[in-house]
Amino acid sequence: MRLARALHAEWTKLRTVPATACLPPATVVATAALGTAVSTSCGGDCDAARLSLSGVYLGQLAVVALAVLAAAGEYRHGLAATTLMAVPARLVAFTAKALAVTAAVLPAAALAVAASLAASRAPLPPGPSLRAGGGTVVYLVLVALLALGVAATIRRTAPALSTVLGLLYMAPIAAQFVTDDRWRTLIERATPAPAALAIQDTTDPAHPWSGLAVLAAWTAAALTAGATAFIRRDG
Amino acid sequence: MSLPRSELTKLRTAPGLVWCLVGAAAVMLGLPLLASAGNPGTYGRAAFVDEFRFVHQPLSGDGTLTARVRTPAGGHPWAMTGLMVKESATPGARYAAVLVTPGHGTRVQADFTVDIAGGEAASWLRLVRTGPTVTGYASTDGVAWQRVAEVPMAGMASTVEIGLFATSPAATRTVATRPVLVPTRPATAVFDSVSMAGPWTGTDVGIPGGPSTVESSGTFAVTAQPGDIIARADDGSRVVAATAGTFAGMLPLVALGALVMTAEYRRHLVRTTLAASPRRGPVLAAKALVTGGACFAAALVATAGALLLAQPLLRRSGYRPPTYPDPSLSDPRVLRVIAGTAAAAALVALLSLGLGTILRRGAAAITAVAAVLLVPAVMTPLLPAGAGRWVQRLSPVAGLSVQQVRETDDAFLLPWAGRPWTGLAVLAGYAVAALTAAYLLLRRRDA
Repeated sequence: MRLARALHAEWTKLRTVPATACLPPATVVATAALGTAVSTSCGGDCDAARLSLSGVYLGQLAVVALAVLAAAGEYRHGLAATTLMAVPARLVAFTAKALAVTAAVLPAAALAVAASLAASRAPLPPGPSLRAGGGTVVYLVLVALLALGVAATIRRTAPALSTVLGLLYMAPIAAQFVTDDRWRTLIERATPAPAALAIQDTTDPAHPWSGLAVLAAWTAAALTAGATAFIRRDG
Repeated sequence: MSLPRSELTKLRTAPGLVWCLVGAAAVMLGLPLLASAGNPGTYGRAAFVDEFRFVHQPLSGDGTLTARVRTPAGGHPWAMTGLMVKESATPGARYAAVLVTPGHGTRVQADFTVDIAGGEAASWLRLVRTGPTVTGYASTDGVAWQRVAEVPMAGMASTVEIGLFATSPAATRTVATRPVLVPTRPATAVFDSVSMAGPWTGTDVGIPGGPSTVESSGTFAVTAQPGDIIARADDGSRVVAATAGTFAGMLPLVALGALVMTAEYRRHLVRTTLAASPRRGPVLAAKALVTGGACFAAALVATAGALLLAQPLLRRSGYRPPTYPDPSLSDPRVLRVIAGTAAAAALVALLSLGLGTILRRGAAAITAVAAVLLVPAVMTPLLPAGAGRWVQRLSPVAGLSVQQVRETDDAFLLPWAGRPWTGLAVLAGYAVAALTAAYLLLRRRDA
């Protein structure tokens, strides 16, 4: 009951603050537009489903921004104090935030994935494409919750955003400079992205889900850290 | 004079901004050292790479082998398909070969060091051994033959192995970022009209065994695991190592550039700033000067330090003279890499400053820079090679081209290969455009 009320409050905040309200539609537009543009570049021998879903590389920016603003944006104007006065049970408030962000991201991600796949010109294999699409939705939700956890720990939007973007984009690039195969494989497998997007591979990959499992572990760790910080700190 | 000074004071005294600079320098210095230490003995074992699929039989004395290349091995401009004589099917044994490549035409190569170009890729190849010389011929129709080159092979054993071969360098050399957890695919070449009869032996020289050669009624499908046949040469690795942290280190600088402006809006300091000096142009110029200068200095010190400190680690890993000479700070190429890296870092921060001024919110500005800087870099491997290169050429990532050391036609995050300054100019164009728009908006808007 308390959770339902808190969830309603969080949902109202997300819905009525212009910055967060425009981000789910932005996720859909960015993902589908880039995916469509990229899928037209395929000249034959390519993974059509993966190409049309590649818009998530841009779309995840909006998802990350949404989660960071939801968790850390409140501290900017002192709204956090009001939130905690209304919902003094910290864990309830934090859970409500996570649920509200999930509720905002899930339909946007599903719509973005559906639009991307529908826009693909090439024929898609039904089974693997379903796995790729479903996995991408799960990926976007996990990335949002990861960002939420990091932002709740750091409590400031710009540093939190930089940290999450560094995790998502920099690890694979830094790995390129390690020429020892064992080290590089370790870095690529142990970091959250883009190993998790191996789920988009429809050309019979060996372990499609293991990357998502790694991302889920990172998300769990970030949420735990965020919840702990949120519970123990003064608002 | 007082404006840059007050901006410097703001930068110096805000802990967040100082941490951004320190963090960027730490990443730019630390990653190269990690990467250099993380290559235990991968290199320096032999002076050559000798990895290919060889379908061969013994040949005593003189002989001629002719074959048609129906499908050459692909996947890389330097994938090789052709005919070879080799003293034995072991890595490093002497050889002479006539071959075709997708990107570099017909060639005659021998003993890792001889490489003679012979025009467009031919579809018929012939290799003739006469006494101490080996001659390669090429033809488009199998009737009219053209001599590509004759190489002296004095001292080669009288009984050698002759046959068909194929190899293709690993896709790691062709695409910007390796498709993660996806193994590189073997390359297949198809020959027919082979002039010699069997029996043939298939050997994977220098690489673990892969799928066996398929022969049916005179057609050979020769499938090679990723490999190459080339002498190891100074590939600039000892300089490239210093650039390993640049891109990752740019992220804190993006945050810095945005925060220099957005933090003022956040705390309404901007009103004080503009009350003290009401003219918008000089304020923005002072911020750009201080931000760009600080980022340039931090990146310069970090990159030069990385170059110097990585050298002992690299030497220990086998990057030693004479194959890998010690880099010198007076080498113009090394100077370009270090100064260019610092300039690229400063320009990225200025781009971020411009977007921060336009958007007035830190989170929004960082997201915007990430969209134009990170997304093109990370998603390139998914695109076809040509499209991916143009995406990088036209995005701010192009600035990293200034770091090019190796003379290659395929490199990581170097879209303007061969024209390093063009890439930096593209990035500078973005920074100037963002700052111009920022100036116009700052002048029109109320603080």
